[in-house]
Amino acid sequence: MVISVNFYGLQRMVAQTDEVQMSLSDGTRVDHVLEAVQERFPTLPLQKEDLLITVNDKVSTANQLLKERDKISLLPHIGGG
Amino acid sequence: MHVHSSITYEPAITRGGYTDRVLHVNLSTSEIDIWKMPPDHKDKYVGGRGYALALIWEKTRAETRHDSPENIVVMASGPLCGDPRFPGSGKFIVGTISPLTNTFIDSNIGGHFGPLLKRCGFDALAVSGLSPDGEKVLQIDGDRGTIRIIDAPVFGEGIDAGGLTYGESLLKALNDHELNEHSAVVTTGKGAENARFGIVNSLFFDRRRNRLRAKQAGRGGTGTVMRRKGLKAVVVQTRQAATRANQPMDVKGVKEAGAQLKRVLSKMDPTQLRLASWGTTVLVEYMNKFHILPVRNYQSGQDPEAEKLFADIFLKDYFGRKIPDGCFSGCNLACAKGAEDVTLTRGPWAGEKVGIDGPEYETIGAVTAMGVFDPQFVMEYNWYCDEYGLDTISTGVTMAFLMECWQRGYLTKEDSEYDLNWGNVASADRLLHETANGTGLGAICGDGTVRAREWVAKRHSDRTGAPREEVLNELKAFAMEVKGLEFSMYSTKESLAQQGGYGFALKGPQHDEAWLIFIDQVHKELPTFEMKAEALKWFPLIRTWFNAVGLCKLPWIDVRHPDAAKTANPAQNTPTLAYYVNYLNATTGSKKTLQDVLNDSERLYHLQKMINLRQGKGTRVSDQIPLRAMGPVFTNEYEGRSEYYDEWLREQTGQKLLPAGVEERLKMLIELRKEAYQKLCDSVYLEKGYTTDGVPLPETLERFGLLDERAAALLSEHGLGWGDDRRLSN
Repeated sequence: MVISVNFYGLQRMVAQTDEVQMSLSDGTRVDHVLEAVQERFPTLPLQKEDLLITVNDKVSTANQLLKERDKISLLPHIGGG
Repeated sequence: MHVHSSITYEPAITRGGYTDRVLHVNLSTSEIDIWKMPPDHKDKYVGGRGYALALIWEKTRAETRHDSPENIVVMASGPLCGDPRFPGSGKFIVGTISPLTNTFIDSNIGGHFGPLLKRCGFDALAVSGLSPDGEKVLQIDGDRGTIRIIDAPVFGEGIDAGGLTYGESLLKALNDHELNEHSAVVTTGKGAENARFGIVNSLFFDRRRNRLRAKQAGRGGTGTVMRRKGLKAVVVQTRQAATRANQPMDVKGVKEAGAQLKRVLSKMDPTQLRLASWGTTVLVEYMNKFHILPVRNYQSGQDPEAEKLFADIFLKDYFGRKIPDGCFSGCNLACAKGAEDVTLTRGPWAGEKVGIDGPEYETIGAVTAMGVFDPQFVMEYNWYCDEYGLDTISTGVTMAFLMECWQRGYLTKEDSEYDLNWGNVASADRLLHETANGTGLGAICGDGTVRAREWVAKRHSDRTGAPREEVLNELKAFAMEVKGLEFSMYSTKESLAQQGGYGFALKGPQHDEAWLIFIDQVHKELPTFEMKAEALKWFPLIRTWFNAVGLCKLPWIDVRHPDAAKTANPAQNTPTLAYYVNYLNATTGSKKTLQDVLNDSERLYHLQKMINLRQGKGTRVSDQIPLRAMGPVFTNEYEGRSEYYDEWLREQTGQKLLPAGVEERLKMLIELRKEAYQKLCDSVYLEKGYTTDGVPLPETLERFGLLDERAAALLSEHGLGWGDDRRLSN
């Protein structure tokens, strides 16, 4: 299956792209994607406590199973000014 | 330089964060006096906003308006303001009766003014009266021990009209042409004279940039009140060391709390929002992603052109000097970004190179509200609003409202003389300068959204023969104001909690009371009305406290502590709040818990509510929000986000099949959204200890020592007496 990971803000700057697509085997979970992203972009800050992970714009957990064409976003926590 | 009056004084020594002195100036009589505050004053009112609320409650009446002589402009810091050993400690508030809302408004502001005022011996400055004979400058010199009211010096037409340029000329004139960190000034500009949403600029010298920088008390027209009083500027100066500012009871405890917070900021901000590098411009990208950006008067929350205004654009093209940009020493979050040598291309200063402080997210949001996505216009809009003394938010929202009136045919060329199409930079620029000058359509814009709405309704009604009330109701659906104040820059169509965050905000729809969009809309952490109501009580209380003690909220709310995830409510970021409570106790010598802090805030919150009640802005009707804040008003808005709205309707109704027509779906959605907001009102009033009409119960006030004779009389006007069970909510 193919899923995409979207980057915003700091991550977009570090990754120098706003989206990467990944081909993964069925049964892949979100945390496997995080590991794959980290391998591809070693300087990307991906500490789980810093991140809000969404799949198709819905908050997800690290062990959520993924399916074809899922869109993952890794977002910072925002509390408002 | 004509001196109207002056006094000499011995600056009070600060103890535990307080001087226990308030400087009072009456501009009607040129009287200057120093009020010694009773010992229990600080226990009850804390400082900052609390001091301003106490003065407004005591010294003004229901009939007081922004330009009444008895109205007071209060500038107050708080016990924790001014110590560089703790991050974000340079804040003070400006509080008064607002020209927009006719009730209490305050706006917090950074820079050196608050800390220097305290080092000059004052917890607060309170200015009443109206100058009978021209504009004045107040000069407070803590080194010489003098306070003077002088005629505002004249430097030339262009400079005298500007908040920034006048402030610089004034400081130089009073300091032998020298700018330094020992003096600061607050100013207004000519826009504050011609518009109801005038700001107060806080100018301070930044050694790294070798120029004056400015922060603003932007909301609610505090600068307009200052200008109406004839107070053009206030200068404070003292060479007393910053580390002696608060004379904390436990210096070691202050150092420890400050070091702990600084460590969290240094470690976490670079991997989270990166505010130290990008400032709040970084929010544009996230707000755009989640349909929160107020594009074209909040019609859509997202736009393909928004990427022209993302943080990296400003970083690349404007934030050339990558240096810490804090608004007060000791803050390692340092989010106040700035640009040097930006050449203005429009307006009376076209061709000049200027330093620009900002833009903040709010200013960028305001420009997108006009449908403009041009970063150079953002920078110029930012600078001119500061120079003229205009709130970038209220200016932008009112301009956007007029643009939508044009889009929908309520306004024509007969009314404005020029096109007001979305994204028309030339028109937006012209309207901005007209607003500052009080000319053309700008004279209408400067009166704010409520009055602009009345004017448009009359013009349209006169022209077309449509009943005026009917037109007015149509306009109310997309005139983005509550209580008379314009919305700040977040579209709330997809967050009921934030609809409440704006609707219940006592000063009007400003996000500094509750910003719940992410935990509600994105995290989905507030699924029930009860949970939303709890958040709408808790967040305003803790945020009130920051405005009472003289601290910036951002190091707490926008940098998540690594241990927060292990707590019951990560969004509250309580591990960081523990440092703040420790800092409070170390400074003042108290032994408070977080709950004590919340209780102190709750007293202030209810006092502000009582002022609103007295001023006619305290009941349920004043908490109602425009339809545009609840959802789409027109079919084009629904269609632009139909996937989300259709899904929401299916979830709410349990119907798999929705009506075929967009108009029917829109109608169904509007009814459900209105119903949900009313349910939220009921839940929130119950949580806060109010009646279903939003009026505090006597026992709620009694619990916080606020049920004095005046409060009881006010409640009885609303049919409330002690022990009367029928008033209980739900």
